[in-house]
Amino acid sequence: MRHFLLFGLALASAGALQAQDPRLEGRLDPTTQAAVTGLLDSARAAGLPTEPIVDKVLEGMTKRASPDRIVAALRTLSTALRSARVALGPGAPEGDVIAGASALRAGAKPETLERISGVRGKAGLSVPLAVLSDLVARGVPVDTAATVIVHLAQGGATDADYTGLERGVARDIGAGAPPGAAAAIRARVAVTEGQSNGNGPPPGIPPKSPKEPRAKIPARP
Amino acid sequence: MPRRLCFAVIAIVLPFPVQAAAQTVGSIDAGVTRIGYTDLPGITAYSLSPALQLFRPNASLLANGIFSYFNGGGWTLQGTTAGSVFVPRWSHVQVELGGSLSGSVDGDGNKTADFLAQPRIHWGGARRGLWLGGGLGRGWDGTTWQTVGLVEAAGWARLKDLTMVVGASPNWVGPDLRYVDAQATARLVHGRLELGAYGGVRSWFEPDGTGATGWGGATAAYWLNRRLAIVAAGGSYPADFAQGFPAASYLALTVRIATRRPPTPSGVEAQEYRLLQPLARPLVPAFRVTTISGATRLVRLRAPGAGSVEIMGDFTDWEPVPLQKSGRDEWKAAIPIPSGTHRINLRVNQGPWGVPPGMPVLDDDFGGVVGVLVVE
Repeated sequence: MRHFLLFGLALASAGALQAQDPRLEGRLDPTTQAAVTGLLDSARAAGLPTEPIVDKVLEGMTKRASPDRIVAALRTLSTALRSARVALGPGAPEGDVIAGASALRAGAKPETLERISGVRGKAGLSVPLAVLSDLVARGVPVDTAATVIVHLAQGGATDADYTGLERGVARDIGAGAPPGAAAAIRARVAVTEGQSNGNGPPPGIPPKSPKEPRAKIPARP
Repeated sequence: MPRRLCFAVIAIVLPFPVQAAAQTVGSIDAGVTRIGYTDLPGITAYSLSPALQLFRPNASLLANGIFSYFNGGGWTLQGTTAGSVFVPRWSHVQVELGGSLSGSVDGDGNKTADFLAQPRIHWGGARRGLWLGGGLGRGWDGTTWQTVGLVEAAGWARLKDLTMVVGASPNWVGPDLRYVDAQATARLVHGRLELGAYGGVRSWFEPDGTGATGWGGATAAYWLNRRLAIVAAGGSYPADFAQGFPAASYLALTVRIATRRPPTPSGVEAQEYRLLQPLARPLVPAFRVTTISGATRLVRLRAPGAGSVEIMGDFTDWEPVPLQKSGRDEWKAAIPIPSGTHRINLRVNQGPWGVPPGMPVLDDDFGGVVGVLVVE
């Protein structure tokens, strides 16, 4: 019995050591340390990546955020990671879960993550989801951004296609184009160049009648 | 678009070339322009801008170029040529067959181009008139060729020394951008002084729901003698989607040396309009990350007037890393940054943590902001 207790204590100590990231040692007050350790333990038990949590603590400390604010940020992040894990499934790589959490925090819906995951399969989700977050951060409406990303995935887009889209949209926005239009236009180009199977209407843009001239000039209001 | 505005101004004189004697005017402007962009730091450009105007009874040619050297390095070369041939007039009606060719190249090798065929039909007399026209062409923004087009309607009038133009032109660029530019210009010549003002509004059809944008500005030229003038200008201009030039505001001061002072006010307007042309985008991006080898990246930032620059991010475990000054206004550092998406902050002169220019911005959860950096 005594050996059993000692073994249990040893296990508990090992767990505590594991929860304590060396980058955090001695940098948090006891109360915050306990909260962070609890969140890390909880994340680990749920199969969630812990690096984003440690990263968020480091960011908060450097920016001299209050302990309460750091813990609140960690709780929000943990919730997003948990939702991403649920949406992407238990076998999703950590990188995909992290990117999914960012996309959710940007405003994407869990169903969007599920759709992209279903289409991309084993091709990996971190790049398209990162681009999704990037587009939203650049001002592209989240629904448009999600439609574009899903449409590209359905067209068999590669990671390079997504990063190319991100660069093109950034450039267009820099040139003054409305973010939503920039995303839709660049996605149209990517789809046109990357496939020839005509997958329905262009992303982010309502379908037009084939009879409608492409260069029709709208009447003045 | 400013180019369209240019055509509108030129059109004041072109409908009646017979009334103007054949003339050729050459000039060169030298000056400095301060340009501000929405999401990039402002830059200062030193420019040389030669121009040539040829007016003949039934034809005209306007050509100009702008070589700009930017404070801190980098340069652009832009050029525009616009020509017209006039069919002999019938009663108060005259047909103009015109077109333009524009392009730019910068120190990084980026190129843009734009050409437009633009016929018009004019109606009017010596003091007032109207024209209707259209244009069709192609634009290259350095990445994509797009079809550009417009339909235009405008009216003009002269009251003593004052000339006014008001017009509207639905434009389309590529398959997805549709908007109407409504604009007006006014010009007053009084002795040695020439004053001009312009303003416009861009209303969007596609994408639907996009808010209108406006621009405006003024120029003033003072002729010291028949060949030398001081020109000051300030204001804003809208984006040129055909060539991918961003909208900007500007303040410019130049000296103009001409073969002679153009004898008609309208001959000068086209020249002064050069200050209103959209300048090519800043050549050296304000923030740039390039791969040296493996995961080691060279981070470069243009920060005029900075005494210190630091960056931090998840790739530094949020430890600030100072950048080293390299040349005038440029700062750089070699930092290990793995491929992927990263969060990054930057600060100048120990100020608050911000986001590198041109980068998407997120709430950092701590009351500040953080940038999103994608490294391939």
